[in-house]
Amino acid sequence: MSTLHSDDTLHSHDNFDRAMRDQYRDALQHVSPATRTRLAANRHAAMRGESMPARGWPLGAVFGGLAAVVFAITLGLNFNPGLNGEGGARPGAVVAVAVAASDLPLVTALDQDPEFYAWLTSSDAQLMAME
Amino acid sequence: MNVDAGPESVPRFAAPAATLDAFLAGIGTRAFRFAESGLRSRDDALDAVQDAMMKMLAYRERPATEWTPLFWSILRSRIIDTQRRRTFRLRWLPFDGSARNGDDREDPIDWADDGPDPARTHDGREAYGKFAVALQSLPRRQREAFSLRVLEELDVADTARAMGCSEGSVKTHLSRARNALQKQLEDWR
Repeated sequence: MSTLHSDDTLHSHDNFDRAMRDQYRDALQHVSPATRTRLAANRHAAMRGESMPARGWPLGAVFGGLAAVVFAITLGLNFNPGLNGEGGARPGAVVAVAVAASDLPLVTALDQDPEFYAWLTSSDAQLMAME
Repeated sequence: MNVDAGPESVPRFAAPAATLDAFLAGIGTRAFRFAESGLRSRDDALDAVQDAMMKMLAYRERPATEWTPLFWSILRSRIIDTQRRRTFRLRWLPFDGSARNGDDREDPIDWADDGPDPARTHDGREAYGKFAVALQSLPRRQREAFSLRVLEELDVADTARAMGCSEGSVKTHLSRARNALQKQLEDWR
């Protein structure tokens, strides 16, 4: 009895599967010419190792645009002293700090030179200071 | 109902294609329908198929008998990637027009209205539309198992290879898919 039931079920499945397959084959025959053309073009491009032009806004372009906007805003803030507030550093101050930092090795060298200090106490240095 | 079996509609019994180009030419529309049912968008489906075709180039030296499960496996991955990207765009980029409607966006089924009998064409489109809606409502693994095993007529081993799971899992997914579809499509039982 159970075998008969199982056979009925299998038969039912076969009929159902066949009906679905027929629907599917019908759908394959009715793919629109425009889609077939694009499929063929895509296949030829793929065989040549090329990709077709991207549609819409790719994610990379969106992130690139966001990065450009953030960069522009940052640049604008740096070049507009009025937007920096009291605590913000002026461009001139930044340059001075940068120059002072670049002179640091020279200052250190003078600090360590005893002849420099001897010259400071000489009359030449006093004359130069008066000029 | 048009049941003419063109070269692209009898995959299981066809001899292996001589070249990769011929293989891709034969599988193109079937791949499109598979991607269309997973992505519900004509353009996304075409992109996924093209990506899969490009990736197949890396396997052109493999025996032609391996191309079929390989291709379906690659296409499955591309469809999943597209679905994930769509979910990401929906979540993080609400201003992106292409993602605004997310999964709710559904293109109408691609269907050529050029038959000699408009009424028959309309009936065919409506019937496949019901079937496609029922198929799309299935969980992804069940949809894949039914599409590959029943519609594409892959054997269980190739279906398992394409889906990246065991043959037992294929049978389980297929059984559940068939039961769910039969409940939704009483007319075809």
